[in-house]
Amino acid sequence: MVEPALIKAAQAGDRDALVSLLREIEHQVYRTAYYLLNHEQDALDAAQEALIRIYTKIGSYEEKAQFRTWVQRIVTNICIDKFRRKRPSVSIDEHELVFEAKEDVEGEVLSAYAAEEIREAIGKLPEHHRTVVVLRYLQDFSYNEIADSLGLPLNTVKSYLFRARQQLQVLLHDYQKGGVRG
Amino acid sequence: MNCQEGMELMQRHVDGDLNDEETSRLMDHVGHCPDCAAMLERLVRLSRGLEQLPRVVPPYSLVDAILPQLEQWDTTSGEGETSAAAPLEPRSRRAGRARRSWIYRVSGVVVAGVVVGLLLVNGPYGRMGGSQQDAASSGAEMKRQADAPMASMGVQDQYGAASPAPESSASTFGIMADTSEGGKAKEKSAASGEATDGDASSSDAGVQAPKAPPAGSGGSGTEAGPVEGLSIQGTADATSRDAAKNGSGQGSADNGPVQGFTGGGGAQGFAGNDPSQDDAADSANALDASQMSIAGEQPATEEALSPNGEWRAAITGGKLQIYRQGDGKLVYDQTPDEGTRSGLSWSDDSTTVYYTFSDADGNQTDMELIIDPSGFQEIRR
Repeated sequence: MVEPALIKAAQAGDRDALVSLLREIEHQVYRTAYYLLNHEQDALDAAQEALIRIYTKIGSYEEKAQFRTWVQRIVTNICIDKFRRKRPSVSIDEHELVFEAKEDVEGEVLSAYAAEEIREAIGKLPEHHRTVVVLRYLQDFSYNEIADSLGLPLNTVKSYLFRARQQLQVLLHDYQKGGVRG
Repeated sequence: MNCQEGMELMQRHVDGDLNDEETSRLMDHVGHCPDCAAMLERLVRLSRGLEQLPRVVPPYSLVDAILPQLEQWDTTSGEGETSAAAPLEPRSRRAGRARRSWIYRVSGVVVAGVVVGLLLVNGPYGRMGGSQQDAASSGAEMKRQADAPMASMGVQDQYGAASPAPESSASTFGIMADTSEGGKAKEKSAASGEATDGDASSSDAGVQAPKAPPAGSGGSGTEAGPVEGLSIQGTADATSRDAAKNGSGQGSADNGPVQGFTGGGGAQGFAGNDPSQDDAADSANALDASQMSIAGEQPATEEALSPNGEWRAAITGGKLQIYRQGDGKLVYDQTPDEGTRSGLSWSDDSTTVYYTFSDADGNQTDMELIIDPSGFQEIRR
């Protein structure tokens, strides 16, 4: 967690403090970008853009918000914009998925999902679902922190997260069933 | 409990969001319902997999990689309070460029203010006396908008701030002349930074890299962000010169504000879905091309967009260049000589660029370049 004193110094115009602050958050910024964009170079670009924006906008950060949710808001906005321009998100017919899921629940061979499969499956989620999952699991955000970051109502956050997990488990189940692992 | 309720509880369970009572209700249901038991198993397994995703780290230090850009921003943002789009430049030019862009921004916001005033005021020659103060307070209001995440907010608030304070264009231009010549009023500088920031992320993109232009609103991709940034700067420059001479300067002001408002609209389009991906991509390429040409060899010290948006005049290394804004093509490149040029402005009809030529001895001559792709002519005014 970034020390409040460091944030204050950065806001007061201490350039060294601001650069140190960026160094502290660069990994968390990159991690979000990486899992949202599912592409290393795009993630590097987005994370750098986000860090620059944080540098130039540090004066507009207000203490009433958590610093890390403010940071994540910036990086997720940049990423959402990037993938909107890049490709339309795949929309999944939920009813069909739920039906399939129920059908195959029993008799399933239980094994751990590979990280690569999960990452690919996350990449297939609609943008808001993906963002919520990334903040929940890669930033360990609570429902409230996700809501603050994305400017969404709490119930919407829960609904996105729950649906995202349902979709993910169907996608991952299909992977395993189809033998396309690894 | 039915399975639907069970699902909700299972989801909250994997987030550790259930109290004891809810947990026992869930376990009770799962004990009787094999489907839900299997589903719970899968959700828990998925959640564990998600928690164990690798905490990837970048292959190199991102902060080190952007340090030059941060330094760049420092030099163009006065005292680090504001953000402004500016092409990359070598350190040796820092002082002059910083002061100049500062003036651009100060005059840019005043131009925006003036036009808002003109749009709103019924009697444009009302209250001459109090208007200086009004304009200053509207500047302060804009500064407060530094927090507004969306450009459109900034634009709306400029509008809102100006509305209760009708002011004549003449007196507002008086203020502009003050600030641009005296270089004082830090507060206004901050406000103008936000005004430049009216195109929001596009301004950021300008600072960082030209390859992330926003999609234009409603599919008119060619008027996307960075272009407006330039137009504000360019027009501001033109008007700051005019303002010193006379109080009207409406010709050039007409262009500035309209572009400014387009900036707000563009930013909204940027935030929302843009159906015209192709347009946006085309415009992105065009912007890339034009920005590349700026950053390519030597950075421009001055730029001005023509009122019709078709041309961009730039002074690079003391010589004048004209770019076609649509594709960023360099259409006129002056032969280097001993003199330098400065003080770019455009005629209202976009056919002529005015500037001042200074020879090696420092003698100044007012010049103009007539825009004619079949043969540009530079003549003494």
